[in-house]
Amino acid sequence: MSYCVHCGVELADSESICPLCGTKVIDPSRLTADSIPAFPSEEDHKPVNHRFAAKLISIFLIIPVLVTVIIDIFTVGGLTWSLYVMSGVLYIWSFVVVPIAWPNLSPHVHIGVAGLSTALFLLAIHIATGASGWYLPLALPIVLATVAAIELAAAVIRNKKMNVIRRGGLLFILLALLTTAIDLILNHHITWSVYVAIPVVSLGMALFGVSYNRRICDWMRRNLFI
Amino acid sequence: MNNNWYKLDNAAKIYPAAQTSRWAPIFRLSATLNEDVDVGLMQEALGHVLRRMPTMACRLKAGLFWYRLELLDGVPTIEVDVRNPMLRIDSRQSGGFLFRVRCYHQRIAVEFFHAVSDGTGGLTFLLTLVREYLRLRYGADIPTNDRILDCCDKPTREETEDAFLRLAGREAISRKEPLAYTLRGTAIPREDVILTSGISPTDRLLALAKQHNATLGELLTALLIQAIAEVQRGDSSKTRRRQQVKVSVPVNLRPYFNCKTLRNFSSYINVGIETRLGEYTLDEILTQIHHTMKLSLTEKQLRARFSGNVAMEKNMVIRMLPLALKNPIMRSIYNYEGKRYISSTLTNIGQVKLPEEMQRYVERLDFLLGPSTSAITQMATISYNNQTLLNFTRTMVESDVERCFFCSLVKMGIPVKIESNRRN
Repeated sequence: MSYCVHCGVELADSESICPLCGTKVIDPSRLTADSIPAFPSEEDHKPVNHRFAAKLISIFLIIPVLVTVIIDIFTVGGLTWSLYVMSGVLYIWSFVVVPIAWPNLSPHVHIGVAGLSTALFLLAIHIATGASGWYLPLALPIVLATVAAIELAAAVIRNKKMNVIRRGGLLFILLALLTTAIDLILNHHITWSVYVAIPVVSLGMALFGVSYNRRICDWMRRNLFI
Repeated sequence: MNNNWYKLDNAAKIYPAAQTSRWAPIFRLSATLNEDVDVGLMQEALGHVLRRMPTMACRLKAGLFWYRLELLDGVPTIEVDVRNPMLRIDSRQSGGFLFRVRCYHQRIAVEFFHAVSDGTGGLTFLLTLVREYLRLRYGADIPTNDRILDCCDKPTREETEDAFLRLAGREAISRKEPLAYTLRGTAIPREDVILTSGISPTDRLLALAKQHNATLGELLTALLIQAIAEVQRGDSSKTRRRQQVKVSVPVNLRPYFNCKTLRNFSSYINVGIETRLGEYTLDEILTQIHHTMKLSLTEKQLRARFSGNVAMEKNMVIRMLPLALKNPIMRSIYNYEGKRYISSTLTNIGQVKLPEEMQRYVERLDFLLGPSTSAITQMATISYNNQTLLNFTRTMVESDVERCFFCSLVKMGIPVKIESNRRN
């Protein structure tokens, strides 16, 4: 029988650290435990049914679509304004239900799916409002640029090997790149984005540089934690 | 009730509403025998006991206005024990039954969903099961009593009644109390629970209690309050340091009303101290507890406590509310009221004396509470065969309450042996 040197309680043979204070059991003449532990190592697991939640939400979302489609067909004679409802609900579905139904997929896939559905939703609005030519030169490139920026940002944030401050620096630089891209798409040459880029890139590069200095990183961690 | 169904008793009505997909109010009673358990024989014994105690052999069914219990044929399969017991009972896995039986080497454990019974009813079930098993295995002839039933008898009306309904009075008292200090800590993985058991000799504990002119239950409650007060002193928030430290102590109502029901029939009282008035000594805490209990544990006070709940159950407006609306209302009341008035729970089933013919086969009895949303650290205790089991259940990383509790026992000269379910 062993005792905890810190608490003074006797410890059952199955304990290798004290359950009360976490002190390791120190007993030179202790035989390697053949004793039966108080509980086995098998664990109980309750599977959570994601598919059911996804199906339930999908059913709730179908109801407004069906109602509006039926009203549309009966009052106007075809699918006109109910298409807006349908595409809106489909958009919400892709944001809400897809991550619930397939939670084990990589976040990059989820971001890609959200980006694709945003692009398609804007296309639907474009076609429904008379196709006046803003989709291809304006909406689509902005969506693509934003999705690319979010994907890169996600990759940076999830990179556990990189120092947090360095990751922050990279994120600022990504932000500058995104604003420059949007500026180019809108105006075909760099105008206002230079005013964004200068402070943001400076801050990003400063953080990036600082992240190589151990002492400053330590100071930041100690004074700026939340 | 007649035919093959029962209404839920008054206390049980809250539990199906309060449970979530991950958590349910569950407690566990186990007996460690002197030999490895023969699972086949235990399964057979379980079948006999279920016919004797039909309120246990029920499934939960939802009606339009209330849940009900419906009798089940068949017997649940005995399961293997696990490291993280007392998770919510899945009706698909348990065959609809609201309890499960788990075996591990020499130990037979039964985990009950609180809707079927309370600690006393659960203990009766376990002891009857062990008696039947010993009869089948060794031909042991063990005398019966209130807590150990004979499986050949028929269930009586008194055992299956809803005692709350029969004994409720017209007057109720307010259950409003000042808020209590709630323990907080770092979360552990969702399906995990940390069990820490302390085993001490009962005679030494009784001697210590006598030294302080208290009962064993009062002493343990005082030590728990003292441990929580010590943790509270280390809390960084001034508001929380000024809150009262209170422990909920469930009370078995059967002795006060001469009742034999095997379903729920217990209440609780909250005892505690106002730590903002200063640091209390153990004797000061004991005085507080002793007199609070003396005032509250009378037939009139206890009846008034549960009459309020029964009045709510009989209220026509509430009765006509469909179950789908009642559930979220009851759940929010449970979540709101259940947590704020207590810091922890200490449930004490007392000293269990078994007939000699049974005692030679049963080495140890355990009583544990399942993980709870109302108290992050709780304690259950049972005494048998000169061993007092002090079982803590916790769902946070920090073990300060247990450490303060057991160290104060050790400092007062009581030896404690600790076991846990942690994998190191």
